[in-house]
Amino acid sequence: MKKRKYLLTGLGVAAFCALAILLALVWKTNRPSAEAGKKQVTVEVVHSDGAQVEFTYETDLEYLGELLKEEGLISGTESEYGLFVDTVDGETADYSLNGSWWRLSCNGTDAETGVDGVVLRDGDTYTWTYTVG
Amino acid sequence: MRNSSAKELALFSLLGALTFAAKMAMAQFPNIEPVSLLVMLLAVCYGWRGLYAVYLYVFLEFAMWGLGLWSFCYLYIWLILFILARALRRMESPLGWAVLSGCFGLLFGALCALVYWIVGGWASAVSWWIAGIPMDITHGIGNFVIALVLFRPLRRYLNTLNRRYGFPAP
Repeated sequence: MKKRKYLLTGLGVAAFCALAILLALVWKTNRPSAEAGKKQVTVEVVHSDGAQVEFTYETDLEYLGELLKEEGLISGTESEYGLFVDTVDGETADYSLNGSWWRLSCNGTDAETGVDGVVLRDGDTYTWTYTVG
Repeated sequence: MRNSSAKELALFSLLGALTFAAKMAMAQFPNIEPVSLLVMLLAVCYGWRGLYAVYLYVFLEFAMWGLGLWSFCYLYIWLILFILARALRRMESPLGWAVLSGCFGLLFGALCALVYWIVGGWASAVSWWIAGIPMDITHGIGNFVIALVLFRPLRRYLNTLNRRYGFPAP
């Protein structure tokens, strides 16, 4: 009986390790890969008053976060998830004050990662929209 | 809840609030959370009544952070862990509980992706899940270690308190 319990626990631990390794492999084989070389991208900013500003950049950088930080378009707080953006093009969104935040979309679709994880691709358009709620 | 229920109401309110407070206290450690451990303990030590505390915790999360897509996930994800813990309530091995909590942490993103599948389709759900895998791995390892170290002593402690204050075993 005791032997069976040990066996079951051992199998459980093995299953946990196998699952963790499997997930790591899935992530490694599917994560978006960076694109080398020069890229031209467009960044749109939709401010709280509805005003839209457009910026065009040519860059060799690979991630949107590094580009926009280098250009001084965004700022915020660094966390373990990357940069938490609170200011875009000089306007600050303060969630604790009025529930506002900056929504990031890539070619019209909400970004699936933080700005530091968005891979730059030639011709893409990234939009920051001041959002409340 | 009937008459003895004022006491129970107070207990489960306290446990729900405690779960939320513990989560907030550990918020500085990304994806290392005590909620999975506490949900398992509630299932094992209080039976189905423990769900009062679980859903009070969920309500407090909604009240604190507002509603979003993740809110739908919170409505069922803790229930899944609760049901599994309830089914395994006779298990004594701390390693067994660590495996349950760890696997739950590893699969947290996949389980939450169901909401994204319904709202945005299969491709959206899969890409959302894959982007979060590093966080799921941290979550799984954190859950494993926390449950391995704390599940057994806290279970004993809660059972002792329950006997002392006259809360019937589930």
